Amino acid sequence: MTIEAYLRELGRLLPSTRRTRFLREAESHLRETAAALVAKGVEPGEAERRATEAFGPVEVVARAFCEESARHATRRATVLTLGALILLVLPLYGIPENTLPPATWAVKPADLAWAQQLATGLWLASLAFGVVAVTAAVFDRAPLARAGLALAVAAGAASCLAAGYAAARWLGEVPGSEASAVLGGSGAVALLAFAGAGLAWATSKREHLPR
Amino acid sequence: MLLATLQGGPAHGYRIVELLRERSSGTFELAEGTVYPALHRLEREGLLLSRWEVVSGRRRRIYRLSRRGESTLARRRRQWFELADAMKEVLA
Repeated sequence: MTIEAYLRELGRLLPSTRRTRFLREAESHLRETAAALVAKGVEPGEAERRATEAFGPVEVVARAFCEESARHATRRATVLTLGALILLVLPLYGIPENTLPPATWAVKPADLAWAQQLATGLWLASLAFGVVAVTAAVFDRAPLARAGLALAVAAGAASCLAAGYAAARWLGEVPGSEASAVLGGSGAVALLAFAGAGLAWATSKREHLPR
Repeated sequence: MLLATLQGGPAHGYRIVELLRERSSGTFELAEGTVYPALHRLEREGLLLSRWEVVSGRRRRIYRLSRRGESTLARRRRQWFELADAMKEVLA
């Protein structure tokens, strides 16, 4: 196989992350190997064939690169998830309890209290899954990290929905509330962060080549 | 092993593969391309630093040990020798 053909095939199998850099390094390596062989008297076409053969089968090299990329993407996703979980504290209790006008009710409406508790429970579950994912990622247990991440994202998204319902009910119940923009913004930031984490997770999964 | 090849000074991937082959007397015959993902991982872990350089008109990514890489190499080398000594004792 010529160096050009080898690099074309390798580029087709690699994920986008660091592809350009890896291909440049691979080309530099292959051309140097071929040049060394030519200097020893090997015919150029044969030198390229031997260089690509020594570099390894395209699938093997691509798989090694993809596994490394997936490991990195999983770690990145776990950090994003934890960041999103921390952001979720704002729309849950921080803003409604501390910045809105005092509540007018003697007893908090049952559905509102229930929604707040549900959101908190889901947030705690999401946090627990996130911690599991981070721990697994740190110890290079990629499958466990991805599973933990998926559960954390799912629980986090559900928590967002419950918190959104609680916030909407609160604003409806308490006259004079003008914090809807803040609440909406916080929720949107949290959702965006979760979307980013989910995306990174999906990317980490996509970057695994079939064996 | 990759960290150890860089203890003598910075090197690019091609040279690192050569050093691995020379020092192991050909024992570690690996697909040369698989060394690069490992180098990228070590760089992400902060054990290596790298940059592009042009040498004789050819672009090369040169790797070198970071301070953390040096201390990690020293620690892992010590652990490996302790293990090797213990194995020798057991197998003797």
